[in-house]
Amino acid sequence: MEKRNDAPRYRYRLPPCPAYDVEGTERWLSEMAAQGLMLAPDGFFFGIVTLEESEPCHARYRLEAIPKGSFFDDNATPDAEAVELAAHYGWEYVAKRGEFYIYRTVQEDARELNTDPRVRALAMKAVRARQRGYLFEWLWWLVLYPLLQNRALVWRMPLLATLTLGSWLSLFTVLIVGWLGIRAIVRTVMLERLYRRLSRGETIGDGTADGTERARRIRRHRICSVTRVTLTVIWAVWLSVWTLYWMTDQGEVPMEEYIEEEALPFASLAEIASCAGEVAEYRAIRYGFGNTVKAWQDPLAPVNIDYCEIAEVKLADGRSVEGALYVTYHETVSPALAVLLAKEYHRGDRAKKNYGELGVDLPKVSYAVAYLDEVHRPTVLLQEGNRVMRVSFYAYSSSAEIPIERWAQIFADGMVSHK
Amino acid sequence: MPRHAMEQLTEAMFYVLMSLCETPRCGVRIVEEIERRTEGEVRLGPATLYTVLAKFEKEKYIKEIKVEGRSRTYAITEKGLSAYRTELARLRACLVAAEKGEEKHGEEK
Repeated sequence: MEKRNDAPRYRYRLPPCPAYDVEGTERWLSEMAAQGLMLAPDGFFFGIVTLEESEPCHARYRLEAIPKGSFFDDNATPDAEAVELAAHYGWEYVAKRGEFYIYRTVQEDARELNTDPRVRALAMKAVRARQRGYLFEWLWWLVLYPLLQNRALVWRMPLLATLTLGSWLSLFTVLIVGWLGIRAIVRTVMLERLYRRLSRGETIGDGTADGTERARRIRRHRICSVTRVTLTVIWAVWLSVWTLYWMTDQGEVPMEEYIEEEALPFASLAEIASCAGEVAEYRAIRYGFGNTVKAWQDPLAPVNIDYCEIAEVKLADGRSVEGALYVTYHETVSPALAVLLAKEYHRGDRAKKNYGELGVDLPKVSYAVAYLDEVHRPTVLLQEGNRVMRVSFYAYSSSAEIPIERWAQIFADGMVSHK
Repeated sequence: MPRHAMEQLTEAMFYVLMSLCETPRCGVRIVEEIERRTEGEVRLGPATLYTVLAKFEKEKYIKEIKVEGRSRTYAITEKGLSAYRTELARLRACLVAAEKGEEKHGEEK
């Protein structure tokens, strides 16, 4: 029995240049053909080039700009008429890469696919328009829209967003987004340059880079591509893990459990109630949420605490204080950062509905402001040195009156004495 | 430099309109007619032809009148004919000006 050996064998390569580098792509594919590696049908996929082993031959590859599509046509493949016309003159459609269709001919005497650079420039118009559209979308959604709407936390309160996400993940995000943006800008500029060359009637060819320079550029592009994909995957996984962690309240521990290990750097509800009288009994109230502490570290702020306490405190004289205490506490690496953070908190709360400043006597710390937050809770924002504290205390059932000035002073004293 | 792409036709565009002036044709017949009329001097590439036909159809210089399989037959419109004649007149004017210059140059010699 004869051994059947006609199944195609494939090799895989990284692309040698960006998708918008028409000349580089055409030249490299021709070089591969000369080595007996022909581009496989739909051979560009997810940044990997699939090449089919065959006899070495002289093949010409040409990239054709993808025309403007319709609503119902995503331009996944060229128009049947275009393929038919090309085939009539010895060219076959092979694959798509980026904004271009790739055609190939192995016939030495086949006429060129494009014989008029200015007409080729016309075909490039749709590509240019799409690329400018992508760039504008990137600018709009990441930069302009958040600025105009003033709703995105990352633009309104960048320091707090950084501390919430984590400084390293935030920096990584900025780098990835910045890199994607720069790539989009470079792509737009290079396609624009190509268009102008074609509009002037220039026939694009192999370029003038010598072998060593080309090899260096190919190596550099491949390293950048692999690095970019790897970093993007790492970033996506990291961000997903963080999102899952944050949305499922991982890192929150019951208040009692936290206090056993660490002392809180601020007052508790019992301490607030103690300024109205001697505390006789304390009862934490369980509503299915609250009475938890979330603490985390960050290079910009080594101590960060989100604290929620809901309790009833009975005083010795029979009065009681029942309410909720919410504290967000940060110790930053420098007083300057603490000042910025305090101002961000204030700016963020000021932008919300129902904000109302309270004209009360405030403690003598570096920064202090009192107001009603968006859910009408009396809130005090304090900053002293490298410490920032945002405290909301709402006594929803209390026979003991505790004015905001009194409990604000307790927290301020705690900030000063904790130095 | 024309502001709009169709203000001044390129050579390929001009020949495509020329080939459709007499009778409607499909893409391959357009290329054959251009080669015949130019005695093989002008050989349109398939991608160039396809782009020109698509552009002309969008600008309503030509219209599709028949589809057979993947092959489409086009006919020139009044707008296309007008553009062709305008370009022809411009080329003739260029030729006349060039020939006058040649004559004067010959006389000076």
